[in-house]
Amino acid sequence: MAVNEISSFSGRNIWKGFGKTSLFRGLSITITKGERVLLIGPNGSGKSTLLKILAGIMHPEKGDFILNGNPVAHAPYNLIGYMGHSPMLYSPLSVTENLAITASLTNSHSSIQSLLERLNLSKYVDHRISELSQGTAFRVSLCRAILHNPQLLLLDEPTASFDEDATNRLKEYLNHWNSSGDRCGFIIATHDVRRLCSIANRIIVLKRGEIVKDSSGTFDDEDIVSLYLDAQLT
Amino acid sequence: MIWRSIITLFSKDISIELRTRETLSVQATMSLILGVICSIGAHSAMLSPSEILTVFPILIWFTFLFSSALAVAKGFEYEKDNDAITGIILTGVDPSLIYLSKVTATLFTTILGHILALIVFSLLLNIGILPYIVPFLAVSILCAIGYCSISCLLTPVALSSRLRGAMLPLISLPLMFPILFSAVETTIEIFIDHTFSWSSVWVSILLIFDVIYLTAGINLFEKVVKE
Repeated sequence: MAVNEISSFSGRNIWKGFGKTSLFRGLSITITKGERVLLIGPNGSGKSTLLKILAGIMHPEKGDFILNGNPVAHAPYNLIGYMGHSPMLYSPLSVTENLAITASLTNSHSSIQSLLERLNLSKYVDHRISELSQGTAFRVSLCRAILHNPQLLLLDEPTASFDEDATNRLKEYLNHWNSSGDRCGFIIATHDVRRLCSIANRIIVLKRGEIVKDSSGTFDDEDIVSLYLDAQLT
Repeated sequence: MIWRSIITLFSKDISIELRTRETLSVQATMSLILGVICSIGAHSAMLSPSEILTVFPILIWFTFLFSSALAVAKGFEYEKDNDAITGIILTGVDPSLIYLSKVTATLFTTILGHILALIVFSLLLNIGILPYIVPFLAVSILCAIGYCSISCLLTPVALSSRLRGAMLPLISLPLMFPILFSAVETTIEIFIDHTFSWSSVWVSILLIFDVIYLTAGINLFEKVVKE
């Protein structure tokens, strides 16, 4: 039977390496409904790899995925929205054409127009991706990731190309996205902890492929600085 | 849903080609350059029309090899650019449908490029192609199906390797040998010996390798694009 809701999603005992370097040696992570997670840690700690594995676009060497308490072969694509380091869009095609491809393949009934308006992208509908700035292309990529109305959103460094205004719009949108509908939550891998800490209720610190800290609650700048420094220095 | 996905992905490739017009223009230029070189070579060697006809099957399939390699590489360039293919995988569409649509789109541009090369060669080398056009195009389609099937499977592997584009001929040419050899032999039967038959052993080999490579592609493409 097709699952159309995520109450919890886990990756258990994940092993992954690159060549002779092993990154994850039995890492486990669970996200449950209502969690808004920031995944932080120094470069090379495995944040992006973990999101790729959870999104189902990278295979771990070993590991199990548990969805709502039941083992699954891989992440359910229809329930997960992923935005990575690249916009994942066809540069010769327009914004609308790119989103129409995603809508057709995911059988999505969401209105592309209203989504573009919400992310302040209406004026770019007929622009080719190659004509957009990097920040704008990533905002279109965010539209692509949420177009099929996913339950769990995985965002890898979403604010890396965003200015202050775009970051505020993203935070505003994520708050709106999380509160509307029956969403599970999101995981954001980022170095931009100060700007994003206000939308998180759980922070996971990753270092050398291991979770070194996992805190839930509300966070202010001082909490973030101490968590981040811990990860960098320990 | 299966057909809608294939049509969406095929239309995407054709839209990109219509927008950029890169693949066909590169193929046309390649055909023209090779046609001119072969024509100058044939005339300076003072080959007779019958001698030119003897080397024609090799020349036309040699050109096919060059221009279709460019077509396949170009077809995957926009998939790697911006990591667009991952965006398609994330829609949850069956990877074998991505593969089939890619083979169809590449087949389309490859055949168009091959027809261009045929026209260029027939004009520059003065070869009458019209009486043989139907069997030759049928054989070309069979050869192109096998070629595109194996190329669309191997190109993502080659582009992900350290050698990138240089890797592709190293891994694909040995696998393409039976297809190209059969195509040359069939072209000799069509243009020179006039003994072409649909039940010829070379047509059977083409069909067998088309089925093998297409089946391998459908089953292995997921592993290739996800690893």
